[in-house]
Amino acid sequence: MEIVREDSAGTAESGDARVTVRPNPNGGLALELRGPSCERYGQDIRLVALSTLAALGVADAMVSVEEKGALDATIQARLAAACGRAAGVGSPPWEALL
Amino acid sequence: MKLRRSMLYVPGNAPSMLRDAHIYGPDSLMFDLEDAVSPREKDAARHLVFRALKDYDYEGVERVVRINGLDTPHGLEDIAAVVAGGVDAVRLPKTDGPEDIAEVERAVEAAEKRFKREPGSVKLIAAIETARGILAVKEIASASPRLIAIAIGAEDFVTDMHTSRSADGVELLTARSLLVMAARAAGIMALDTVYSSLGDEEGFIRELRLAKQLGFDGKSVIHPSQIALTHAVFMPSADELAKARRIVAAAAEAEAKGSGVVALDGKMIDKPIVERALRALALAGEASS
Repeated sequence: MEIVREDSAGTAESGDARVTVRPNPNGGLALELRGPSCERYGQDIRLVALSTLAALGVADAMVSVEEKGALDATIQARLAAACGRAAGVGSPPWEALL
Repeated sequence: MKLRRSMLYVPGNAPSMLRDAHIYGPDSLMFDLEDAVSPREKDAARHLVFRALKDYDYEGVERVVRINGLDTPHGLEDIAAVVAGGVDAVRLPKTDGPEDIAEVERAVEAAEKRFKREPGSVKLIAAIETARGILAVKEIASASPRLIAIAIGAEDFVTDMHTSRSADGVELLTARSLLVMAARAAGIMALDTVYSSLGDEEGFIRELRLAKQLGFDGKSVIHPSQIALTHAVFMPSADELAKARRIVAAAAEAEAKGSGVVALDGKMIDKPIVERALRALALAGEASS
């Protein structure tokens, strides 16, 4: 999945996450995490985000995750939605996300 | 027996509600990808519902998803996502005829194959929300072996009928009656429409009693506070259960004696009365003999 423009998904509400994805002119993945759970669970959130990006086939992107106590499933969902929007892909590879 | 007294609506784009909805004890959950989600957020809600189905443990509570119609750009992708996620049943909105069921069934079959789910494992529920749908309800109810229930959606129906909802529900009486009759004839369940006035408990109970009296198996609910009241009305009362136990015991005694006549308290008990008593006990989870 090729990220061709900046787009985002999710909200700043409690239990949710706001994920923004944009093209990375330097190539590769740059991941920025912010939110109340990051100090304690930052490494876990990073792993969840990276595995979701790998499943989606996103190799080059700048990704920002602002979480508000979101569970892993919510972060995965918001990230997948943001990537789909930023790549202009309407039919996600559901098999890869299983 | 599987109970569907209450089916709790959960907006598909609300992560916290998707996680916790089962703790209120509904018989079924209905994650909504249709009216509760704006067109701009359809893709995001689909991802949330997919992950919820796949990752969360709802402790045995049935998981239904109301998809967008196949006449929209969203319906087919909804089916792929929810079948992949492991949904128990797909609820079709605005079902106008058996051809609508056939179309969804084909898409569900293809998705079962694609995601290696057991053929026939995904069930269907059809919501009927137009005059045309009610007039075709007999054909709709028997359109697919996957169909487990039909439901009436009142707001769209009364709009289609050029009327509005009233306290006594007279405008829905014919539609509700036809829908329950079609469900009974097809051997599936009938589910009543939502009651939107959350503050009006008296009105809600009145509508529950009407639905139960007409023969409905349950009702769609929009708030956890409606679940306990719904279950209370759709379950047999303690008095009804006590009577049912006596009727079933009398029938068993008559059978043991080889007598075709069942009597209780000096009155003849006909076969349909024994059947109703057995059903009341089954609803309460009691053994029928």
